Amino acid sequence: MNTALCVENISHQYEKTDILKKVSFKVKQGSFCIIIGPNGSGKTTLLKTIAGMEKSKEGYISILGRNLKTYAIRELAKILAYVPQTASLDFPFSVFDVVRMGRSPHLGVLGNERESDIEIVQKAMVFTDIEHLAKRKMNCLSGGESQRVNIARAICQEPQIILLDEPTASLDLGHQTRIMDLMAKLKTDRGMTIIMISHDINLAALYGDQILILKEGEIVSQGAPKDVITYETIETTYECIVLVDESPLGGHPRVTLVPEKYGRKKESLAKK
Amino acid sequence: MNLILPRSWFHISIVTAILAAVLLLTLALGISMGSSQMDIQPFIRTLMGGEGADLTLHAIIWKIRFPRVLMAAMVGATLSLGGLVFQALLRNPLAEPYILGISGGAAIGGIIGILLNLSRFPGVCATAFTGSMATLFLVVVISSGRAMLAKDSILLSGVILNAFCSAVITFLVSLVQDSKLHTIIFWLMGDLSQSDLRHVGYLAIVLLPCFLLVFCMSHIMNLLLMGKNLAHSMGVRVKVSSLILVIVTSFMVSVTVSYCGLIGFVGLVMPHLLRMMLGPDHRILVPACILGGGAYMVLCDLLARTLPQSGEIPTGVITAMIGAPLFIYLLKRSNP
Repeated sequence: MNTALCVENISHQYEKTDILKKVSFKVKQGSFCIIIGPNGSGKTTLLKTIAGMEKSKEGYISILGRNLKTYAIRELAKILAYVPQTASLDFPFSVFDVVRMGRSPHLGVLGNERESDIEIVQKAMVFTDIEHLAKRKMNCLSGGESQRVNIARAICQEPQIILLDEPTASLDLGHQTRIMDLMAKLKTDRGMTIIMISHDINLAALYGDQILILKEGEIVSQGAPKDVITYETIETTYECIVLVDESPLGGHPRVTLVPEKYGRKKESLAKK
Repeated sequence: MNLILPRSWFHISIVTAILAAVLLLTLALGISMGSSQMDIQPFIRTLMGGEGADLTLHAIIWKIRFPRVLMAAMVGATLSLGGLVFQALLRNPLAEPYILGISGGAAIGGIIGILLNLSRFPGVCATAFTGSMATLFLVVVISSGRAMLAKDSILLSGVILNAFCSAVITFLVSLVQDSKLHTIIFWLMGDLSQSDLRHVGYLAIVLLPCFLLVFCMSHIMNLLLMGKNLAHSMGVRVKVSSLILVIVTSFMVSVTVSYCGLIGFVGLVMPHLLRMMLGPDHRILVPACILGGGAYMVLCDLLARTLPQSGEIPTGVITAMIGAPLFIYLLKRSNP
């Protein structure tokens, strides 16, 4: 399988502190890559650098075998879509208006759609199950609904790679699985490459083909979930005590937090 | 499933046609009425020529009122378009060139130009533009430069600079000798009475290409409303586009300020009113603001000319008196 994304030695500084330190990894086309790591480990910066929003002075990023720097911005928008963590909107756009904006990179400067574009928009809305919300205003949606609208908008770009920044954050259990199943379906049905940031290690273990653990701007570990999600790596990365066993579903690694009353003291971590 | 079909062009043309008709109507109204005559009959008689034509009225209509209403329409169009652009760029429905201090900076530049005895075009226009660009630069520097599109910091530094500009304006006014004082104060309050056709021509040549450019960027403004990261991910060159829009808008505003002084609230009221009526799509709002803002200003100017028994009120006073309460009402009535 071809490489969708290749990141080599990416570093990033913000006001003299290193956010990313020589990060390198590859993502295969049509795979589901999930980036996990503690708060402030540089996950969002990494995602924005891949999307071309942050420039890295060192290193090299190639997307579909071509240097990121050689892409014109509209060209990139046709193969790479980005879903931010929260997209606040103070203006009363309807759901339909927002989803159809995803077609913009394919359209002229005034964004006038053809019939075929509207078909794509409608299909994306059916796919994400938001067609009943079409006329609703964006600022009247629940968290799960607006996240699905954002995903539908990204789908309309017809990208080969979708980058998502914690799409399941602050969603309830049902919405989390719906979003994750949606992404898995995009991968299998349309062969899209999904690169997602998540805080939920168990979701990552269940859905990810490839897990990337980032800590203090460095990749601590990467590979298949069962190789990466072990109690040693999770404990050292997050500095907490966990129990890792196999889930009865497919044998995925499963992480359980260990409260202090049940287990070793935190000091034992420091000694390791 | 059959959703809303893409009828953007259709929608834009309908709205544009209706508002163009409204603008024409107000222009006609603006020409037909004034402090010297309120009845419609002598106006029609004079316009048709022939019997009963009033030569004085004829001169008033074509030499005074006609350029004045055209000027008012262009000023209104520019100011409400300016408000619309800044609201989109800052993603804040409260932004406006007047509040951001850009008008104030242009006014300082304008006063300096007038004090130096420069001609209105291009002299005062140039000093006003320099003034507005200087305040814009300061606004960006104060709001820390890096986060050019940060939402509230830029608005806040605009408010501060606007207050500062007012102080500088008052200072400059206090230095002026009597002969120029009346001109400057009247000009500051927003005055359209100095209009003549040559100036209207200059303004049109300068402003119409700007209007066209902003319309061409109207969909980019839609995308910018989604935030700079999302706009970037959908293929918008955020920095370049924002910079073009800011400079073009500041330029338009400076040019109108150098002719007509400070006229506030048009840029706040019209975009809000039209957005409530027509929705947030800038491809519709840009032409709507140009035409609707023009019509609104012509009406305000008409009130300024006809309300007082003798003399006239500066137009800026009328726009503020209508604008501020209307704005509060809008704010209370619905969450945007």
